Amino acid sequence: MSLIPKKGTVYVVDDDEAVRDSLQWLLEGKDYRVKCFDSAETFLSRFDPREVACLIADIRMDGMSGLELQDRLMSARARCPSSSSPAMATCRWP
Amino acid sequence: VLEGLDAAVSVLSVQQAELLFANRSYRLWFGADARGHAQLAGEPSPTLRERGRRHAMESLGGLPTTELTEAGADSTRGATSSAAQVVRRAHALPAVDRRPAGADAHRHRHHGAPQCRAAGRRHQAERAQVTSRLVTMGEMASSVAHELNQPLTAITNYCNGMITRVRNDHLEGRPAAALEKTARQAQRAGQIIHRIRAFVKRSEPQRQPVAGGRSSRTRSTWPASSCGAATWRSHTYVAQRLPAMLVDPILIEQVLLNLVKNAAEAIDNAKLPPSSGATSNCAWCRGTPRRRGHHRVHGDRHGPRPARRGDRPDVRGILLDQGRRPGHRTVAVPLIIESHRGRIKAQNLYNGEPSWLPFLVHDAGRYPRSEAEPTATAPPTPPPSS
Repeated sequence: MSLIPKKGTVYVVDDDEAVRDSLQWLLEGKDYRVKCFDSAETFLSRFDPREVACLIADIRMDGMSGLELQDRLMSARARCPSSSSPAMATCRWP
Repeated sequence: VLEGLDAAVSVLSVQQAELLFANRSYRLWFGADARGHAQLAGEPSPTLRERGRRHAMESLGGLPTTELTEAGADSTRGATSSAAQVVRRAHALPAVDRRPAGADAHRHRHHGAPQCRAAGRRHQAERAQVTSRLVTMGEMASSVAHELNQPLTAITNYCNGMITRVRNDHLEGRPAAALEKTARQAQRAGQIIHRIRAFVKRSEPQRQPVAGGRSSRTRSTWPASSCGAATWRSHTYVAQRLPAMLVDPILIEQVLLNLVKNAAEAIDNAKLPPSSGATSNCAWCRGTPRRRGHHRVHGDRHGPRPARRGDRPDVRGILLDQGRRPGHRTVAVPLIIESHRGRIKAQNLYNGEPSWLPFLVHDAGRYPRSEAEPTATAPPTPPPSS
């Protein structure tokens, strides 16, 4: 039986390639569709606010940090629940 | 560190007057009461709220302009008895989640005979040294933990993904590749540990008398050669008659190189226009009165700042480690400073990132002044062409 994404989309924004790849492996194993980005700027340039998705972003990144990315999404009123890694316990709904 | 202090330290949310943190002494004195400090000082509780409002109106948008331990913080005194005085330090600061908060510290100061006061001062100085070392160790531990966290997180994710696939009988695909990646991440974590252990094993640096400021003179020209020197200039100041230091010159130059490299990258990333007139100033001078017997490595910058906070990295810290991406650099620098019995003072930049200001111990008593730099202020020399 093949892995067919069916639960929804998860955006992963992290500048560490290993963390991105492993999160993709983990979430695809749970039938999520995963889109990875190596920076917040790249994510914002390709983010589609109409898509139902959630976001996992690294707090510490070169350039825009995960918290700043969350602020940008909140100010843009994008309905994308987001969580910051490594502090994944916090989840903010814009 | 805060937990072990004799002073009662608390952090309160300004808006809700909610107790965000309380150390052991505070809990001992006031329990879970958020108004403990205000009661002890005989003030009404809205003090923090007022202070938060005042900071919010400042140009820095509420970010701290002073540090809790510096004399610039709000300080009040009150007497609890004829022999004791309570000294209170208060400070507004942004919490991690950007809620405005206020930090309060209370400690008892006892009056008595001069001998007792001197002994008390010595005791306090010893405690301050221990605390400072603990702070440095904490910084190191934090950096190491962050660097180790990445491969460990990846290993956890790969393994959990594998478990999910095994349970769901979804093992077709690329399990072998995932296992190989897991092994690579374990090796990566092992390399980090090996690097740190190898560094720590070199416990005793090869100390020798080094003229104060010599390292700064040789290294401060480095950024100009490797980063966009067309947009900014570098100036070096070395104070006169600096005592010689008993240090490992190679390790200290490594510290300077790392710090200057970070600063150069920060300036370069700011992408200032060539006409900006930005100048990086590197100063090597004696420690502050509170840090006699230390050399202070200080950096600052003149020129326009990036237009908006968050758009570009702040370039204020010239010789300060930006700490934006803790890695080998941010692990090695405190280790070297610590191995020289120096101190690193953590402070916040305007963008909220931590930066470190190193202090180095000199040994003026054992090494004659003639070995130190005779005079000051060498202009930056052109970088060697390579």
